[in-house]
Amino acid sequence: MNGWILAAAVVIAAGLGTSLWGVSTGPLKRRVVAQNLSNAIVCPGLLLLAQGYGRTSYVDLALILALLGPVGTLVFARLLAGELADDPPSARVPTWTVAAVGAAVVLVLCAVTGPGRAMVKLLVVGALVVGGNLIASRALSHGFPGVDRG
Amino acid sequence: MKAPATLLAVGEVLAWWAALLVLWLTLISTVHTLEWVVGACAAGVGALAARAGRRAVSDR
Repeated sequence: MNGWILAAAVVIAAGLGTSLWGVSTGPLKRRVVAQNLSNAIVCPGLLLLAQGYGRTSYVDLALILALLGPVGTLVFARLLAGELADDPPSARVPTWTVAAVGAAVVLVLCAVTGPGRAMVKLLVVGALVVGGNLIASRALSHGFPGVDRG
Repeated sequence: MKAPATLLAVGEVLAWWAALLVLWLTLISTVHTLEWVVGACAAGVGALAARAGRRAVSDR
């Protein structure tokens, strides 16, 4: 057990625990938001675990989740567009909190990694985590303006 | 397809290809010749798909 694994445990326990609670209880609009945020909070956890175990190839797990998580949320947002249109979810504070955690973790890991291809990879993963989370949250709150034209 | 349009299409595919190849080389762990070959091929397929996708959403 080192500091990275401890940090990963805290992020995953607090983040995933909270989002699982959000996914399994409450109204639909809270559940979809929690589902979206669970992807965005597990990614930094996986990055911390990769650093803790000293195996940079584990970063690929976070990369895949960062790619597929927001896509899954977009599918939910599209399928549930009718239900969510009357009472759209708004979760600005949790969304930006999760984005800030992701950005902070990526920046700390970049500082530890030092310049090089590994750092660029971390930045790509970070951009996917934060950007994907924000885009997916926006799609949940605002729907898909212009998509239903034809 | 006229000559300028062909040139534009080739340029677009080449741009996608270069960007995807750089992404490939960034994401792999060690760079050797085989990785270059596989990456270039995968980036080529990806570039064609990217252009098709871009046209599907913009050229209506």
